[in-house]
Amino acid sequence: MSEASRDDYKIQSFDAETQQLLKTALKDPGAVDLERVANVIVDHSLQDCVFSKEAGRMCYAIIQAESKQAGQSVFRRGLLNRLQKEYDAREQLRACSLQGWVCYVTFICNIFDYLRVNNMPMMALVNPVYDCLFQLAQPESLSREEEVDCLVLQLHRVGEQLEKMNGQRMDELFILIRDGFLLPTDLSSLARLLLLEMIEFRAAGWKTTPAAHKYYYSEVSD
Amino acid sequence: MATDSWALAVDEQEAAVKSMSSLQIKEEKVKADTNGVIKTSTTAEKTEEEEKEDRAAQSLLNKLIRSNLVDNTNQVEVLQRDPSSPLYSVKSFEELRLKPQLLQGVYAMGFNRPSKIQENALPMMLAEPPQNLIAQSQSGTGKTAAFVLAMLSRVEPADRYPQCLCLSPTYELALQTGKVIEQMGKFHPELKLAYAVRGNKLERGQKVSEQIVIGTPGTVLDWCSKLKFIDPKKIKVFVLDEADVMIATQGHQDQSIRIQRMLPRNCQMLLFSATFEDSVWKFAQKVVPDPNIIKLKREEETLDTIKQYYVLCNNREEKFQALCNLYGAITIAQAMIFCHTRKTASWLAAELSKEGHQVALLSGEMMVEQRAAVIERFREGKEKVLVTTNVCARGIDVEQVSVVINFDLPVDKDGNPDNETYLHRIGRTGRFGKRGLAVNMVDSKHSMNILNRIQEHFNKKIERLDTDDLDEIEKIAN
Repeated sequence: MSEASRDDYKIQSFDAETQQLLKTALKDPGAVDLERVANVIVDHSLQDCVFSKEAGRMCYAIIQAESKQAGQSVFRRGLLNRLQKEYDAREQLRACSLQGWVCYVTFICNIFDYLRVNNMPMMALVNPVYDCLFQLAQPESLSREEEVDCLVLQLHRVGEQLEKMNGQRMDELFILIRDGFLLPTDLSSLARLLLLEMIEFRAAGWKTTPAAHKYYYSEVSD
Repeated sequence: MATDSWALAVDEQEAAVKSMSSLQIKEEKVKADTNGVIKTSTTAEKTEEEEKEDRAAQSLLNKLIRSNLVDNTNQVEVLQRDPSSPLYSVKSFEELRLKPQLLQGVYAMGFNRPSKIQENALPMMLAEPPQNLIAQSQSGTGKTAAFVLAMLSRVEPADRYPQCLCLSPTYELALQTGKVIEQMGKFHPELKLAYAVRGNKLERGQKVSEQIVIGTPGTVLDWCSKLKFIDPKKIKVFVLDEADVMIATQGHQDQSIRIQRMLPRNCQMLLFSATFEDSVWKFAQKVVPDPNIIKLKREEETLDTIKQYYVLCNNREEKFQALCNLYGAITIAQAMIFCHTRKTASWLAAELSKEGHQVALLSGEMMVEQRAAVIERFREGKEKVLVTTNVCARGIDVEQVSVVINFDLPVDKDGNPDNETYLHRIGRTGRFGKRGLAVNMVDSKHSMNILNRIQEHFNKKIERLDTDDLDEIEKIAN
């Protein structure tokens, strides 16, 4: 029952062959080329933002299935190698396709969020995730609403865990965010509000206080 | 580091606690004999799922930020004023990474958080490399503290020559700015300030050793060129305050530009003005190369902390009677009353004295020392009422001024409303976070027309007040 309900990984937009490949990887990982599965997932994550937001959950399930079936980590190794390859080429990616870049950051944060080793986040991903977020907090990135939206959303998802892994870099990141909020860059009203909300969110211990929730989200006037 | 394989690093992380993992496996085997293991894992799984759902919900919330917030970013400022907001503690002076002695000075003055102009301007003023700035800022917004911080953070106290230069349009404003510098810099004992104002005579051939010089344009120009008391090539920060007033004074504009031309190319330049009419804007662009600009919307030129009213009268005597009624009904700490001419100011001061008020009179023909003495007595509360002409619409920061009265409305030499002067006059009240009150006396159709045009300019309603209705007067005082 619960297994069936977790089959919803938003793969409906994929072609039939790909859907079948992924379903088999989830049920019987030994029966497919797991390295190919990893590449397929990354390729689609770079094109489909809806998928990239939840792809981490699918990766988690495949890793669990493979570990249980064969005690191996072929899929995880393939996934991380491909993720690292895209990371090394991220500047070209960002220059060619803003959409692809936003999808990549969403995906790597998703992987960081879902995949754990000995109940801890993967250490190897901490600095790469920070590097991506630092890029999003640069003045040139803040002038694009898609990048501000991505930055704020990922900090909501992984900010607290990330801070525990390296608090100093989080402090440095928030200096950039604060300066971005304060300095008169080409910041849209929505982007400025998103940054302010994030500054307050962290200041309140990575929680949304009732007062802030009412201020930002309630349409009912006082 | 970046070239290391992530996959290998993760494998190592997993292997690093392999023995711990084995211990955990053993514990599980022991507990497998009971039902507790199943419950534990089920509970953990639910908790994890709930956490995921919470974060998924947040992604939806981000899209639902209230549309009226997006359309009215001015409300962001409202939140920032709320002490219960976490942002209140985040946006403090510590974040600006100031020198410890300077931070001590800031807190000693009672500043606990930046004001709006400071929030926007300070990071820019303190940035490396230094940024040039043109900022629109009305009175009481902390701009003086902001540029004083910039000067103090860049000055090297061990060097005994002028490094920062600040131009003020009036002697009074120079004194006032100087006081802020002395207070904020008091934990730097080697830091000295020189006043370049008429009346401060130095001997020929002397060199100024103070690190900061503040003065009026004419005297500063003489000190830099004719008298050579200052080497302008060593100036690192140049501040031009109240630029709109500067260009309104005969000669100040030219003198300021000539001073600016003598400064080094890499000197940081900061210019402030309450308004930016075309003439001010042209002047500003001549003085400050490649500036960052902070400009207020038209509505923001009017101070929201000030309530504005007008009173209908027919002549000078009726205006005086209305003034007496106001005094009878309101507890007024200190008042400033502005008149158009010295003659009216003298007459009004005499009439108020007859009524028993302690009155100070200030006008342009008084000597510099006399004016300073009058301002000091007023600031100390020895006089409760200051009657003055336009000359002092700027530069007087007295905390207790609770009401400003335009006995005569401000007009320029052509008889048109002088919006800049009006803004500066009412800016004398409502400072330091306190509610302010401004009352305008109208005595003819002509002056009513002036008032209407002022009202239109600032897009701010000025309510009529009936000074014969004591209940109404008492109501506005709250």
